[in-house]
This record gives sequence, C-alpha cells and structure tokens, in this order.
Amino acid sequence: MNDTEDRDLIEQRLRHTLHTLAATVTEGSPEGFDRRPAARRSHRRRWFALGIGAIAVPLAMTAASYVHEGSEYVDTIPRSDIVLSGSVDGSRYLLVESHRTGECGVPVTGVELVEEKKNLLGSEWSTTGYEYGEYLDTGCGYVNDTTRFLEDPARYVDGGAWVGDSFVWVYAVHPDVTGVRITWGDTSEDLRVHEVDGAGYAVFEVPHEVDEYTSELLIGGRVVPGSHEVQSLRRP
Amino acid sequence: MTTEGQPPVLGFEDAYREHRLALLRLAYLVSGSHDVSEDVVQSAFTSAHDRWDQIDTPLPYLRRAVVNLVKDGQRRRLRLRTRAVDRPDVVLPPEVDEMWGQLARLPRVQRAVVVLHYYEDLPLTEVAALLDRPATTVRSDHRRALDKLRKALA
Repeated sequence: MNDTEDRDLIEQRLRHTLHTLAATVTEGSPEGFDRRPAARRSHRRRWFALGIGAIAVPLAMTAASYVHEGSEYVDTIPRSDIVLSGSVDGSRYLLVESHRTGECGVPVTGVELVEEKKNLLGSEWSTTGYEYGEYLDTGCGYVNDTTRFLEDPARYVDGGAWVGDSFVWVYAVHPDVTGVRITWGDTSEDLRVHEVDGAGYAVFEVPHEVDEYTSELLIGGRVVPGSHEVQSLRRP
Repeated sequence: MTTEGQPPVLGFEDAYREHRLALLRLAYLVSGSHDVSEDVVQSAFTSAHDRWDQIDTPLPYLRRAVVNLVKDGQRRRLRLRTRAVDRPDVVLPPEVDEMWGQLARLPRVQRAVVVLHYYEDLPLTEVAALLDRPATTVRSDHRRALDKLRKALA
C-alpha cells in the first residue's frame, strides 16, 4: 500500500470512528436552558492555595519541574483540586492540580507541592511544580511535551522539596505506571500513583534515617525495565 | 462574530435546543470525557447567554467556546491515555475502539485539529482560526497527528 492509500485509509477510519463515537452521545436536549452549572463537584473550602502567575522555568532545566515563587498572594484552593494531603513532622502539605498558564499561553499540567506554612492565606506563594514530560524550547518559550515520555514507560520526572524538616519527593510517571517501589535497606514500600491530566503522580516522604534508596516503576506489580534508579539525598 | 444591533437568527432557547447535542458530541470527541462535555457546553451557553444579541453566528461562536473551554478550562480532566477515556455504554467495533484509543493518546491540540477537520469537516484554515493558531502550525499538527495514527495502527 502506498502513502496516499495509507493516508486515505487512516482518514476514512478517522471519520468513521469519530461519527460512531459521536453517535453514542445521545442525551437529548433538555426542555430549556438552566444557568446552573452542569456538574456538581465536591464542596470547596478556604484553606491555603496557590497564587496565579507566570512560571519561572530555569533555562538549564529540561525535565518538567519548576519552582514557583513570587509576589502574588495566596488565595483559596478548591477541594477538588487536591490530589492528596500529608503531614511530616507536624508540617502539612498538599499535592494539588496545577492551574497555571505557562509561557506561550499553554496550560500547565501536573501538580504542585504546597507546604501549608509557606502558603498561608494572604502570604506570597511558594510551591514546586511537577509536570510529566520535558520542556521544549519553542519560539515563544518553554512548553511541556510528553511525546518521548509516552513512548517509554521507564521515563519519568522526579524532584523534591523540604516540608518542615523532611524531604518530600514527587514522581511524575507514565500513564500506564501503577506504582512506584521504593526500597532502602530491608524495607520496601509501594507508592500509590494518582492520576492527574492523564499522567501518574506519586509522593514519597523520605524518612529521616534514609540517605539513599532505590526507586522502580511498576506496571501491574511488575518492574518496568530500565526504571531502576538509585537516589541519594544530601541533607544540610 | 459580533454585529451591532443585528439579532441572531435563532433565539437563545432555540439555539440551545438545536445545538446542544451537537456541541456535546464535539466536546466529547475533543475531551474524551462525558463529564467535561457537560461542563463545557453548559459553560459555553452560560457565557453566551448574557451577550446573545451581540452574537451573529451562534454555532461557530459556541463551537469555538466549547473547544477553548476543553483546551483551557477543563484540561486537567483530559486524558492522555487510552484506558482513561470514557467508554460509551455500547460495544464498539474493534477497529473503532482501536482508533478511539489512539486518538486519546494524541496531544490535545492535535486531537482537536483532527476532530474539527474530520468530524466537523472544517477546512484546516478554519480550524486554525477556531484554535487561534497559525495555519502553518495547524497543518503541521494535522500531519503529525496522521503520522502518529498511521504508525500506531500499522
């Protein structure tokens, strides 16, 4: 089959697929317009949250993580944006879905790690963000791209931040990855992966006594080849 | 698309009844999520409601609003992966299921380009205008999407 036939066939399948799927959406129009929002989500609460602003991406950084600090002030965060919350040494933190717009006007995907003490209402924000993928330098700035990452489940982004006196490490992993196995000494722990924007995110609260550990990605309980990595932690 | 003083051909309620299902389908194909579809279509009509007498061509306006809402406002609920897309409550032919799964793996802009071009039958120049992207970029998005699908389905 030549390229033209190949393309024609793909286009034909595309049209067929899209029209078939569209036909499965059969909800009839209601009698009239109702200005209330369509879907009800969880209740919101005032707690601590992120400011809204531009993202500072260090030029040398290629993995999709960033530090977000600046003069804008912490506002509220919807409960539905909270992926998980935790507490280490009495310091509370949240992993929340990012809702920023990055360079080039592209929405930032992924999560931000927010320590409560550093992000009280009305204070200047201070968070670290993690996106699954890598930053590509485009004409207007850096844009996250997942293409190469999606081709290889062993690829991931990781990084951490201090929460109180403890280190919290965040993994951004391939959509097929179901867990992250952490091993140190005779101890092993499988981290739960949370889905955000289609990718997976997991958090490891590094115990005080641990200076080095290994991490492996899991799919259905099996280690993803090539994902084994030794992590060393330098404490101040 | 605005005009001064010219009312739209359709009244708001009529447009709601006439276009809602089509927009739900478009939103579903672009987002892969029934929940997102409901949200963005409702939001699109809500935003249009207060300025309805300024909207000359309701369907293109609403279509643009829906795609942009999926792209911007609801992107966190979009799915990158096949297994995460909402599956309809019907059994799909294998070839349709396979293609739908591969569509879900496309970057969201490429997916929007494909849906608007092959489902809505919009020329790529109109897709570019709707997505507010240069026409050359949209042509590139389109070509890359087809290349990916062709390789994935080979």
